[in-house]
Amino acid sequence: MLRSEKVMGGEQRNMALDKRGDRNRNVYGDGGGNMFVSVRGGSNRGSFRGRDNDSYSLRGGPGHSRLPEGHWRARGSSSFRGSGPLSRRPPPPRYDDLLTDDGRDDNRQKNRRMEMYRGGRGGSRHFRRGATIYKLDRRPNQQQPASGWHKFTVHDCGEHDPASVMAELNALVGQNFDYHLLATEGNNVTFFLEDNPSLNKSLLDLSRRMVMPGCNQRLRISNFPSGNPPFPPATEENLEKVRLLMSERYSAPLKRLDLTEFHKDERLRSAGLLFPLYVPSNLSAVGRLTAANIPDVTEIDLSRNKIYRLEAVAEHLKACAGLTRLYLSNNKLASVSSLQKLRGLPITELSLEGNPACTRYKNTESYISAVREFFPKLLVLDGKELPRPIGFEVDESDVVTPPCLPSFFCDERIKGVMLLFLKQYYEVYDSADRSALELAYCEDVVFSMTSLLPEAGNRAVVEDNLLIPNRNLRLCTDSDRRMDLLYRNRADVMKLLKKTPATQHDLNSFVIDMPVAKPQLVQLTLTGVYRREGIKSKNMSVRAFQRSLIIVPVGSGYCIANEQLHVALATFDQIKDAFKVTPGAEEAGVSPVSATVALSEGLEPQQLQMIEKFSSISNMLPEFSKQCLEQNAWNFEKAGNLFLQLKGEGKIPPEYFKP
Amino acid sequence: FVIIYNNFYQYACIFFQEESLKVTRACVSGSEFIKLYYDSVDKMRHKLAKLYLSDAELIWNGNRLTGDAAIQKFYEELPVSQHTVRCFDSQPVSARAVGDQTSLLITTAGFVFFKGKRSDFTQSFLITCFEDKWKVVSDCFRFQQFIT
Repeated sequence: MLRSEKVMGGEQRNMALDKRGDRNRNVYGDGGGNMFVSVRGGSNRGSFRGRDNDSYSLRGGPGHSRLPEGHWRARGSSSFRGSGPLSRRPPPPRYDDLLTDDGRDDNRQKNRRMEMYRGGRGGSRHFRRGATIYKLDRRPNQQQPASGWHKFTVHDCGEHDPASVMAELNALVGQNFDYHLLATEGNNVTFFLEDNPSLNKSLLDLSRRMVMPGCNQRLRISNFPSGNPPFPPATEENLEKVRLLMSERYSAPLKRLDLTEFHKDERLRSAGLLFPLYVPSNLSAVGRLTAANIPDVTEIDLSRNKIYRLEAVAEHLKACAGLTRLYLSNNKLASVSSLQKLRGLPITELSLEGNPACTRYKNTESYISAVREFFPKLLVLDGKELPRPIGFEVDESDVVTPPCLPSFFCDERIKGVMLLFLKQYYEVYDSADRSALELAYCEDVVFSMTSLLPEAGNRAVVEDNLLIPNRNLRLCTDSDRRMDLLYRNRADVMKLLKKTPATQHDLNSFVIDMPVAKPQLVQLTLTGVYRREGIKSKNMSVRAFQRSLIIVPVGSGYCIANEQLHVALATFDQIKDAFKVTPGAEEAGVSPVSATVALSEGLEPQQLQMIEKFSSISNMLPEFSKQCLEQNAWNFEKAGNLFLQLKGEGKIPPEYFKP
Repeated sequence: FVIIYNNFYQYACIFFQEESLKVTRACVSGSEFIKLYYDSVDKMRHKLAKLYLSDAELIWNGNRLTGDAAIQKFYEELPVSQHTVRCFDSQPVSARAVGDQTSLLITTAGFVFFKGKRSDFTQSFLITCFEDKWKVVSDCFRFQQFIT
């Protein structure tokens, strides 16, 4: 019973293999299938048969092994290893190099003796299963680590020069091999090897056999499958070496940059630098150098670099608008979607052979179409010409989003006044006491606030959502509530503004649009960012806002008649740029320079006279005289009293006065 | 005294009723306008000129356009857009500014897809009643983030 289960298992495995074989055939044509046919039909037949017979004697006993193969099927029992005449497949491979059959009775005694002798050395171990004894190869694990790197240690030879040890090893192995980072560690000599299993094996075979000239100690060699070796840091100096090598590998007439097996290059290794491109930061550095020095490159060959991700380099390669040929064969790209970041490059020739990504497709067509999704202009893939793509006639170059332009003012005369107005407004708004804002509002101002602050998630701002009287009409549908949330007189607005948490506005971020400036009204839209004080996390404290204002002339000054304030969390780029001192500050509009230039603009001659008079009496600079007058709604007497009071208290800084 | 008080009370009531009527009307007209406006921008750009006054102003990310025909042409040349308004507000413009000319100040915020790229935006309109139809006087559109 047990045995028949085993046999069933064997058959299922065969079927599974069969399926896999079908898939192979689909992708690679009929080659796979033919191979098996030829194996069965050719002269190899004997060896397979022989193996089968061995297994019979193993499992079924000697009697059955003499029967012809077909006999098993004829008796109706399940097929044994799929070896009937109609079966298309050879038996699955067995690990004959690991398992040796010495199940014969007369050998058993001998084996036991051998076990006794060899037990202490641990070089091999025997175990019994049924009547059979298997011998396992217990040599050190030869598995390839994911990185492909092995660290070798030659023990107890610290007194020798590492180079001489390496020369000796080279002589013993009989070939010159590529090693990296040869060094002395304590009393051992260490070095790194990459992707060479057979060499690993032959080096290990030298363990306890190798003798340095002049000594008689047999040296032990050991091996760890290691992660990445400690790569030298990408310092300026090292990058300069990389840049030199790149320029040597660049062919200017062909505009071709050859980066194949970059870190194995002799020139780089002799400089003592290990710079593998599969390390994302290294690849990114190479991309940066490419984009900076040879932006007109048309062909880049990155084959055989074990690259597994392209994100780092994609950004830089996108700057090379003329890049049409890209070779990425024999890398470790896991999926075609890693090309996503390169989308938009005019690639016509691409090579992806030898990447795990290629084996994921059932057939060549789906593979081609997956790649074409990213590079619609592709003509050659993996060295094979593709059928020409048939597209539509769409004039894509015509449809572009217009660029963002800085602040717009429809009237340059009003601009100066408005900038000054806003500057003063925000000076008071960001100060501890906002009561002076009263002057900026009409008696019957209409004011409302909306916000789009997340209520849940990791950027949720619960407190502010409660504080802000959010009149978002999408959510606030009750007509009484809509009425309540619209503030319609100055006292209520002031109460609300005083209650609002302290803020610090970034005047450099301000972008102002003024579409309408008529004698009776000015319409302004102001966008920018501010920091809400009292929240530590920058992600949540920096807010983007928009103020829509309708400003009317009142008396000799201006007041806000309508205001809508919208608040949202800033985007991450906005947070990054917020509160940075940039030389291009004027562009945003509100800066002291433009405000002083605008001093004499947009004012009545009468007001200019007042400024002059005030300035001469108070000995203050004209712009501050104007400020003082404006804050007092151009009431000369009131301004004068305030000035005297502040001067008496010593609150006016000396730079406000004329030198 | 009672008569005077009653009179005053009546006037006050009428005044407040009028005020609240104005506000309610602003909200209703505002939401209707927004629906129509963004439908037109996303799906019927050829009808967009009808929403603007003949001397309307559009400032689209700093690009200034004047006149309904120019604005419609500008929008027709933009890539396909898909606006989603997440937040809007509408209020009657104070009589100080516009006198008898009934006008609304409308602000919207949300996100828009241009060529598959999402950007947050805010937009502010001044619309006015012209021959019993709401028409846009000025329209300011900005991405939340200034893209250089």
